[in-house]
Amino acid sequence: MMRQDLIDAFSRIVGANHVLTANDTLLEYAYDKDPGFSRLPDAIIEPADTAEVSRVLALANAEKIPVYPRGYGSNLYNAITPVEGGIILLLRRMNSLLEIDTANLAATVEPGIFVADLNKEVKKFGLIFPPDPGTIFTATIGGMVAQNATNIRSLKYGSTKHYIMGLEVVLADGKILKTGGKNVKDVAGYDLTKLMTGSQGTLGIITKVIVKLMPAPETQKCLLAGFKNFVDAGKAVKAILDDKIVPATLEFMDSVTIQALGSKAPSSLPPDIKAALIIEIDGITKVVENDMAKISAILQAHNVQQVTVAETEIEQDAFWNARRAAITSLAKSNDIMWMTDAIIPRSKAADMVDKITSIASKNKLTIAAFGHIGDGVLHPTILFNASDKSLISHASNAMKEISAAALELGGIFCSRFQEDRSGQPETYAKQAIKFSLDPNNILNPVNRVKEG
Amino acid sequence: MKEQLIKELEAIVGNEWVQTEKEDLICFGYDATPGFFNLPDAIVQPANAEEISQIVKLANREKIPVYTRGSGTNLSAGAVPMSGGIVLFTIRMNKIVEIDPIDRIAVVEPAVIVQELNVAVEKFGLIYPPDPGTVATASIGGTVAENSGGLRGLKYGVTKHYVIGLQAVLADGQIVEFGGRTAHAPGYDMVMLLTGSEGTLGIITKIVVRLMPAPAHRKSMMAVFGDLNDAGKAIADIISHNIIPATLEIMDNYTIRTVESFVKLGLPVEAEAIILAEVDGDYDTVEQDALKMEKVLRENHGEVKVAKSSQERDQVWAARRAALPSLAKLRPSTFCEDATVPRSKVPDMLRAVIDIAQKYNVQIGTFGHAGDGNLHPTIVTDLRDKEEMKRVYQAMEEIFMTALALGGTLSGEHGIGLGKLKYMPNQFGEAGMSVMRSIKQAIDPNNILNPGKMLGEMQVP
Repeated sequence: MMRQDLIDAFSRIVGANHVLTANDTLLEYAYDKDPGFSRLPDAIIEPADTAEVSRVLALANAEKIPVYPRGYGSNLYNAITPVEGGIILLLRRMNSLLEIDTANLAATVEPGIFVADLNKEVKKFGLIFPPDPGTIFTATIGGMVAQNATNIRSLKYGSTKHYIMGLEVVLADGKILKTGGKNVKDVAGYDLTKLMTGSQGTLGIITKVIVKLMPAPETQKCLLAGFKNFVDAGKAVKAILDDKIVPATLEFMDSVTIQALGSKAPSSLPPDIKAALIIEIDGITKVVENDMAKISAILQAHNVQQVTVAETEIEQDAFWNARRAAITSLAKSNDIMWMTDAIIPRSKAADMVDKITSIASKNKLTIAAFGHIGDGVLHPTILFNASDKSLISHASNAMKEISAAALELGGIFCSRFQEDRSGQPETYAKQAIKFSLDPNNILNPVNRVKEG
Repeated sequence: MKEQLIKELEAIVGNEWVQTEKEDLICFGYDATPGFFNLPDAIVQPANAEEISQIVKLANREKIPVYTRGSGTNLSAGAVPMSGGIVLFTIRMNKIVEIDPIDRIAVVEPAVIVQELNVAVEKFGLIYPPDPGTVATASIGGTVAENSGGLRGLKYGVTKHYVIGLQAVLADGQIVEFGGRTAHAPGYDMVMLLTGSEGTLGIITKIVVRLMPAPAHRKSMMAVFGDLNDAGKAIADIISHNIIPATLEIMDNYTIRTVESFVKLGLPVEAEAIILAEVDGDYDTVEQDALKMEKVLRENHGEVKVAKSSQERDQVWAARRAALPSLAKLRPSTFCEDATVPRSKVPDMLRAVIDIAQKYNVQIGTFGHAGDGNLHPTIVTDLRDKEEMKRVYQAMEEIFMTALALGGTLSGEHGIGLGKLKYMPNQFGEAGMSVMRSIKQAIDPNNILNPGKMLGEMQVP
């Protein structure tokens, strides 16, 4: 419970109707998409603008109240769960598109805007905002920046952070920091824009974002390929990349994921398919057609069972909606879903899928694997039912093995069960930065969660 | 420096790798920026990260400044010692550790020259895109510390777009590894924080970079404009026609006349501006974009010449490459600045620089990367002429303030160092300066790493 005088003080800043403390409302914000990480916040505060965010933080800092910024809650880990009570700072009222600057290929937006809504607006000018986090309809730009979300177009267009040109950030003490701008080149000072991007709300609250836009490609072509085994799929991916073809997206789904999709699975996929690739090529028409022909030949050479080329935008959307539904479908069909990121050098992606499969059978578990295979980003997702307690230790074990496998292949592994890395000099440096900018540790303080 | 400390340094790297003779120290007292010179106490040439770790531990214990130096081509006095201290000269750490053509990654030590890496990856059909003007002399470590740009920034970005992993020695001597070989890494982006930190947060000892497939085809052209405004509009129109050239350069009239008087390329000395552009990529896209670009340039009253052969292409770029050397020949001292503005403000900036040159009666030629807003107003002068230098510094200040007023930045690719230190609060404000100083203090509490640069004097508790 928050003291009434504090609730009154916050109400004076944002208006009483934007400080929510009713129990059923708090319950709604007690969890995000990661099940099992529930803790009631003390209040939900919905600021209207930067000035209000600044005043809320100044007060929270003075009173040492934890602040958890939140966009729409599509986060896949517990990065935004209020593990220590405190305030959820809901940024959904700050959802304006402030400017589209076609001359400089930049847009300025508030953090609460949906990625899909931004794309809809810039499309009118023949432009695109390339990073597509997969949860495009429910992810906000602010959340995407805070997480430096992996995105399905990163193979060709690069990671999310390359599209973040500048930020307005409210610091823990309420001071307003402006970083970057509309300059394509800017090396003055430390790169605070990139430090804030991916800092998961622990260094400041993002209140404005300047994003880089790109000209929309002249043509786009998308195909769906089904394989009888994932080894062939993995080899096909490698052959495409070795041929120096750079698809906009190169996505992988294994049979567990495809089955979970149920009716959302693309109808053209035969039922006995063990792996599917969604490949999108964009650029000028002639090149797209050439590349599609080359890709088709490579797929045939690797025993593809079924290739469907989307002839219309509706068919194309059907492929992507299937991929975008992967996470929700897996979540619906299982009690517990531990989703992780295994990011490996892309030449090793097929090896990683192989290892995930053997880890699953060894631990008698179902593990789904899908992700941006062209970029080496996979999401091994462990699925089990809560009723069988013994499975939790199997799952923990599998998690460790997946982590070890990723590291062995020269990659990295992230999950909500972060390893204890304190004491390492790398961690020490990061902590030093955190405490220098947020000495009271009020911004998204996350307790390390123990396994099991 | 105390004799005992010299002995300790010699014990770490070996006697032959510590220099303290005056004539050696003088060579390391300056970099490529005119007007900055200070003698260090010692030059130390370590062989590896472990030796650097020991040197830094010693320096941290004794609170001695450490100035990391690669090839010394810095243009913002970032490599100049302040007063005494150790110049940590990385030249011995010059190995290409690995080239992985499958994952398109290279691992290099800091003293590898940018061009050496490009030569080494060429046989795999790959390129390392960042190409600062000093590509043949600059060390990669230096380009990472400064986040150097180059001619291909518009399409390919700058150094930081290619750095994915770093090994560095922190101020307490710890050897750390940030990032790695993967496309994505979680947590605070320490790789990007160190890239461009000008040696103030750590000493870079190993670098993992991304490589790109070499473009299969390219096409260059030159367009001559009688009116600067037309050139500015042409640049905007190229971008709005969805063409992203690899290179899109501009030269103003002063630069054109200077280049022509030295190199005699047959440039039109009456022209207000010349645009030089190149598109690269696969054959079909390049041909299509080149046609579109030619049309856009003509529509804006540009007189266009498309290079039909590689010799003609070389001629196009000879003019651009001659810009800085020609300007530098005019007078004893050359200040090449890199104030950068959003692309749409390039014509405003070019006009402003011409007016500033008149106002303060100084000689300024401007050329640069118009496509990404990164111009190089280059002031030619004589450091010995105190009266003129006063006007030069006034003109420089007004150039920086104009760039900031246009929504620009003090530096597009040369860094802050000492050269632009004075103007940092104008760009970053109180909040920005205090955040950056907090980070510096958190990572380097004794302020031993390249102290005094970028953020100015720091309070050491």
